[in-house]
Amino acid sequence: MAGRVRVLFFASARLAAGGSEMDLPCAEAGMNDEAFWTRLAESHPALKPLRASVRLARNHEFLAAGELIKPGDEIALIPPVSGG
Amino acid sequence: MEMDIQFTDHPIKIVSRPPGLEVGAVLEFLGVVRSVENGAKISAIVYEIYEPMAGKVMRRILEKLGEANPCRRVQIVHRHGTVPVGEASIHVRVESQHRGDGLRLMEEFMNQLKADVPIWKTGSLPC
Repeated sequence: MAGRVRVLFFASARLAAGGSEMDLPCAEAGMNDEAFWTRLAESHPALKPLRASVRLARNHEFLAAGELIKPGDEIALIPPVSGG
Repeated sequence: MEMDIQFTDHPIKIVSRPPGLEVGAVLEFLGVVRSVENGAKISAIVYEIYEPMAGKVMRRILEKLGEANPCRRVQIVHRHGTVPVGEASIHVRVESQHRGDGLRLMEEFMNQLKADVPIWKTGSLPC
């Protein structure tokens, strides 16, 4: 059974996505970042060029290498930051 | 180390409270919006913050830095929304027993803020 993840867009990612959030289907077993980006690019091709510079965060933590995204997660696209 | 992290869309008001009796150094840093950004004259910068994550990442950075540079208290306010030229986008106040720990923590915190904390300048307003 597939669940969903909530995806948040900020800064340049929000402009490219044309909105600040969306839901994306996610298998119960989860998906890695590769599968996430593939799925995201299908619905929002304009986000594809950002992949090289954007980091993913899962539930307010940067996604670790090999970590899976699970249904119910909040995934944020984090473009290069510029606070201060 | 006591931490107080806040975000606001209003001008930052600095409320100074007396430091504890064991505190020997009080450091304050204000990041202020300049009138020129990337060579262009501006009137304001617009900031965007992913608040739940920004607070969490700041805490983690401070906890780690505090291990090597023990400080008594850190207070941070970062503004979001439109910040006019001449106004502060961030205020950091560090209280420490010894100035070296406070100075090092302040400097390294600002470096890491600019690398890892999800806060963005999303635009600037022309003059």
